[in-house]
Amino acid sequence: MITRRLHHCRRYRPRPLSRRDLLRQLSCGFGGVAAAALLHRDAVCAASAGVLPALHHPAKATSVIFLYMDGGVSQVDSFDPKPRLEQDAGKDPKGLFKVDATQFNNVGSLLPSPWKFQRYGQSGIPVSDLFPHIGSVVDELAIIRSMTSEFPEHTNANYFLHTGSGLQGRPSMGAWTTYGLGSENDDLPGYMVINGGLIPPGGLDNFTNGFLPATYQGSIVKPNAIGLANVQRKEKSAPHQLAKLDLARRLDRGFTERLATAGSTPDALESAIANQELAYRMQTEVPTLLDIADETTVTKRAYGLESDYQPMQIFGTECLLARRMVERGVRFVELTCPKVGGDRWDQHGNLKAGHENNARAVDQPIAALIRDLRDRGLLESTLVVWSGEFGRTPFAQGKDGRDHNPQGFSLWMAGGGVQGGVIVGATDDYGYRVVEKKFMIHDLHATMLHLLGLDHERITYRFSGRDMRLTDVHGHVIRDVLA
Amino acid sequence: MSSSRPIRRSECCWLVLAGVAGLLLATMPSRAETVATRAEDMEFFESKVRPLLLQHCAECHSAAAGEPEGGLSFDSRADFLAAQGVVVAGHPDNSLLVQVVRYDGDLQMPPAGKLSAAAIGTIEEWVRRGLPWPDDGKQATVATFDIAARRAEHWCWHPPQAAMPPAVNQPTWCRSDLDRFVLARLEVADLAPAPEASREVLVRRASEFLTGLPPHPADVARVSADPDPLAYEKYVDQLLASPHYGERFARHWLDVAHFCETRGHEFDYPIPNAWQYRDWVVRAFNADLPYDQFIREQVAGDLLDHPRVTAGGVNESVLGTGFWLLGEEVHSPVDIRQDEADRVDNRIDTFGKAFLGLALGCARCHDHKFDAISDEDYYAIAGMVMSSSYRQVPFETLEHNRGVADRLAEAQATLRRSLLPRLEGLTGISATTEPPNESIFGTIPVAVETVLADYTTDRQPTALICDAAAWGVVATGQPVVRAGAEGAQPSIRVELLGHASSAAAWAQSQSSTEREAGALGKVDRAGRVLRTPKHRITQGVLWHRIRGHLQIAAIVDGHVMFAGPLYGPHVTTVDTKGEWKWIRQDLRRDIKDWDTGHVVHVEYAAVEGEASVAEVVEALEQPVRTDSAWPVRMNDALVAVDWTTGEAAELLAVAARHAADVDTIMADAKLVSATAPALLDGNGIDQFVLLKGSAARPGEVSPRRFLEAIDGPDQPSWPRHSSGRKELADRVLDPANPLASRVIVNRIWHHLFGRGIVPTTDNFGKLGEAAADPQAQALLDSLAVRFIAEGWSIKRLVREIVTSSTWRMSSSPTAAAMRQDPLNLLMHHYPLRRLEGEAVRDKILAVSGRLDRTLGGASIEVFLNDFHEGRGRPNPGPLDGGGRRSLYTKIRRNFLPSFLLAFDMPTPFQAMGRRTITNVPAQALTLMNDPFVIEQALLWAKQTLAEPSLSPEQRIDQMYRAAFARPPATAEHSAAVEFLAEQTALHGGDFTADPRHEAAWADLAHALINTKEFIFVP
Repeated sequence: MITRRLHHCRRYRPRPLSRRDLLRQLSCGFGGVAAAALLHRDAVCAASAGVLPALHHPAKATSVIFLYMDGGVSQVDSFDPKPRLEQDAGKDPKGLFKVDATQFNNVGSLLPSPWKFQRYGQSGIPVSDLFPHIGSVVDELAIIRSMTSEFPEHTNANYFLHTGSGLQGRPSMGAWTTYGLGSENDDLPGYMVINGGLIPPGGLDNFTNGFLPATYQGSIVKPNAIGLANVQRKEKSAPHQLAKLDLARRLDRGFTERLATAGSTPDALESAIANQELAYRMQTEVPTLLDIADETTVTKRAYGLESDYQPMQIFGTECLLARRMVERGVRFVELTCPKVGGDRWDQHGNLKAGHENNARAVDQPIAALIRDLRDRGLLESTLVVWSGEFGRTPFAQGKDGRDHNPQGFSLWMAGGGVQGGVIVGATDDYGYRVVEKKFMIHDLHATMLHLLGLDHERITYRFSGRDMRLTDVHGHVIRDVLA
Repeated sequence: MSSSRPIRRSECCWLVLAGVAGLLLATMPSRAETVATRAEDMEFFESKVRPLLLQHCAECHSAAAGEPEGGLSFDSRADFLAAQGVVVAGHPDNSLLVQVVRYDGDLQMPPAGKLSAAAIGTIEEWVRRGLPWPDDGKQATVATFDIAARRAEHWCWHPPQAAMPPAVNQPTWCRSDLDRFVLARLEVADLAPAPEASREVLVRRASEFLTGLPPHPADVARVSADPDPLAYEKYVDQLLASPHYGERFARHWLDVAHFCETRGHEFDYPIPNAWQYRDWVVRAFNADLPYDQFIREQVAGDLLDHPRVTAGGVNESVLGTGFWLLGEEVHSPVDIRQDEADRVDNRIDTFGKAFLGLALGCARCHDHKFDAISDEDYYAIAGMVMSSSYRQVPFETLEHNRGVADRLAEAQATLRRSLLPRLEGLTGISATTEPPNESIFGTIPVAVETVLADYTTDRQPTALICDAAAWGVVATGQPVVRAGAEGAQPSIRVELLGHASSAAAWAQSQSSTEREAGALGKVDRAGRVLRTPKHRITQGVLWHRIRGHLQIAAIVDGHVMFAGPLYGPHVTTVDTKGEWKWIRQDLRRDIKDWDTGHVVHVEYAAVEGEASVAEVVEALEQPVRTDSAWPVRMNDALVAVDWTTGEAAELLAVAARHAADVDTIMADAKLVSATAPALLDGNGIDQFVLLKGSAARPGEVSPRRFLEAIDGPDQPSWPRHSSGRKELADRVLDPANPLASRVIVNRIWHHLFGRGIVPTTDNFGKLGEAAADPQAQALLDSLAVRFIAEGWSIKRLVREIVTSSTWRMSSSPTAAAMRQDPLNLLMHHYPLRRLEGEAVRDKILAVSGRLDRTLGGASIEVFLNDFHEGRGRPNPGPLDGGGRRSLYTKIRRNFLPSFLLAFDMPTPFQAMGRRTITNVPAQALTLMNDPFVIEQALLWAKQTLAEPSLSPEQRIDQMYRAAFARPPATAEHSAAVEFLAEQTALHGGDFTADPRHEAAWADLAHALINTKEFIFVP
């Protein structure tokens, strides 16, 4: 089996010596290298290359698994218990605090959580009955209860969470990460998105490379046998395909020789040929990655693959694949939620059933993933982040739903460099607005990059007339979660 | 003619609070003045205030933190006072500083948590005491923003000068002045240019880069064998005359305009008929529309005194304004004003990059950090953008129907002239001597109201703005024939109220193309719309005095994408059953902060029948009017008239003739037209400078004008009756602007050489990359000067470049040149270039024989694979895109074509004049396994095998010529034959017996597509 350590030595290449090396290794990193823009046109791009010749500081984590809770989990029903909602149940929130505009503007009365909270682990952190399995690993989690977003509706908030901007078309955090660090595996994309069935509002642009080179775009895989677009050869047999590629290679020789200078092939051609070889290997690597036949029954069961609840099987497979990707050195993995029949975590109505169905799909697989990573020694180098694009209102929308709430919500981080068993920040008595340690998405991004050994202010790309950053002009590392 | 001024506090977030509009601003002193100097106040500051500032604020607001956040520094008294708008000495409640520490607004400081009540009290007390702070004599360390200095120090603001071409040692190498500039640099470096490429290579290069398609094999053979020394030049002319030239260069421009056919966001609603803009661009390049006109029509094609109208009467010019309408549009934005600010920003950013090569967008939140662009410049242009609105223009019938409308108005006037005096005689009631203010409705005082539009002729009528020609003005007292009840005679009445009117026939206007999505699209609006001027209003309740069956759309802050939960009340349909009625429209359901002002205009579209709008008013209570009484009296008198005899019968006959005339005129109206997104101009709105780009923090008004760095600080005021875009186009094209010509010349150079003389094609500012050396700069400037002098002709420029010796160099550099200048900055050879995704795909279609060369038209729906998911997913189009060029694949913002994306097609969000060219395994996977490629390879094989009598060698020869514009070498021939034999065997055949085995030939075709020579052009 491939282990993390095998990759370690490949991670950071020595500084390039020749132009050829420079091109091969830093070809996509125009932003951070002095001569970079000059290289623009004849640049080539190896799949594994990142822009940075060295980290800004020692990394705690080398990979990220982002568990994206599409639609927005209710904080007061998950990780931020608010007994006051019981006391003031049924009261008009507008009489108690200032209520901001929401997309639906159908403000109902204060709605206590339908779920009980239990204390778990040594830390005794309360987690609601939606997430008993996650509760069982709570000592690994740093729960931030004081996260905010700037957007109360999905699409902008999704873009904001993924790209640090509410507008469409900016590079995703996974793209930024691989742009900076490259991939540890030469045979797989550095940024992979496992699509459980729900593509968040805003579409695939949540995973875009934006203005960064195409190398860094998220590769969308499905938790099934085919996995990645065009990764399956269409020929009946491998030799059949190989014969074609061999001919192409043979014919390429004449072309490259004609264009060679003093025996040296133009870089772009050499790199294109190398990429063809890589593509050929990916046809085997990706299916091998996605084929979980070699996992034990115990493992599969732990992840929920034998559940009779299909969404749990799907998300369990996603979590298992995420571990397999991290093992193989994929830099950034994002999981999207499976369809559970009703809506995503977006319960404008019918909170109880909707949240329960969504929770049931992800709770056990996530806990299994944390344990599995821990047992394999991977958790310490893998940053796991669980978040929605915003939280939900503590008051009802209509009678039994909750509207979007960007003024305060909870997320958690675990693994690489994160201190487990802590709670950071607080919302007010109702769980509506942050009152202590207000953080914004830029702070989350700054922290993620920090744990990966990157200074969010120094990982930049010149575009649109300025040096762009994932964190724009904002962001502070959330030191409270650091181990 | 530029100004220098100290940095303003508008560069930080502090100036004005959320919700405090410009009004309050005017009463605030621009700087806080410290008035307190008493000893106990100083003691208070030192003991209580300074520790607080140090502990809670200085981490960010200090030079020690690098750049003080928001430009506010607590390092010294002078630094603190340099910040404007932070505090009003003596008035804690009016001071932003106090409001933010109280966590009152959306700006809350310190961010880590609210200060204790005691600490907040200390700050309040400090402000109340007048901001005591001992003067340590230090000067403020804040930098100054000096447009003149910045302008002086950066090349792009200096006018281009035509330089004499330098002398060279080898003048025979030079075919043009351009070559002299290039050769002179090489000679200085002691390098030789690469030898001229073969005719075959040149033909392929020219065809692929001028038309985006491989050359026809017959052309390659003909031109290569042609003894005429000008054979290549003639071939270039042939290419420039090909309609595919326009398609190729249109695609380049569409990258700049970020052309897109949907609005993105959650559901990816369409931008209806956006492809009309794409086709306009294609036609413009094919017709070699002079580039100045190309700019003018995009900036203000709706406002030209003499638009281009085709022989068929189609208004071409107006289509150019589709340029502005290709951005993201959000449905149900929660913050409608911020949404507009973002939309406007995208438009300004695109405008600046496209035409000026400037990152104007950088001045949205503060003065540009490096360039001579202030935030006032930015908001001056924002005003022009905001003053214009969106419409679907019936461009085919627009000009014609304007003529119809003129004739209709004339007929109405004639009728009035001939009839009204006689009606006065008939009734004894005068239309002119009646006291005008005599009321028939009473004289209740008027409530607080804002008149958005008033089309009654008795008062100051508002100028008509309509999307086409349907609306005209009808004056009070206009005679109207009323059909009689069954069996009864018709009769005449006069209009009670002057108004804007759309004759019944116009309500049958139809778009022959795509209609609007969402609530607006419930009515086929194009050609039926009346639009009021824009006003900034503060109450949020509109009253429409209308008659007829109309759709009413209140456009707040430019928001037009009506769908989803919010802003439903903004679009409504009303039928007043032929009576004048005041219709109330309450816009307060989803917008709560009306008191801070929103810019609103109203659009009316006739649903059916005649539609009339008298006025629209913002008021909480129904407006009260004192209309003229005489028409009522006259109508009362007319009721009694016997219309069957005498004078009355004569009048009726006149009226009947008029009705017949109107029928004749209206029969000539063209009611069906293709439509296209275009701008509709209105009155001029000046925008506030938004602090930190936030719509919640308006600062001072920045009147509309052009960039100060180009036109100076003192510009004549811009028209109030229009957006000023026409003037903007004039200023962009004025000789005083050094950028317009340089930017386009550099773009063309970039497209033809793969790299601009200024490599950053969209940014000529300080953060862009300048020309490699003064000679290169001189070359660019000389070309730019001549470009204008020779009539802004892009074809002429292209021809000059591609027939130069520089362009004709081979792609094989010498070893010495590669050693000395590996990046080819001196241009010692022609770079080997990878085709763009569109060209790769088009070439596959061309060689397979599937290519449908039809020009223009509605887009082909995008093909989607299983990985293409998300809301708004359309029914996927055909795998081969109908065989059409990639240009015609529908560009859906949220569902971009995966084949093209793999090859670096830019995502259409921002101007992207220079594509990244990556080399990633996804490209190889696409060419290896994409079903489109497999399908086309098979078609290519079928086509190759179609002619029964050819030998395998001849077929291979044919394929090579189609794909690579050259015959195969002997070794390549034998390799292919060998391969065919093996593959035929693999497929269970015998090549000797069956030399036309389709699967084997498809394998060969597929292998050829996977060679590097297929996608790399030497």
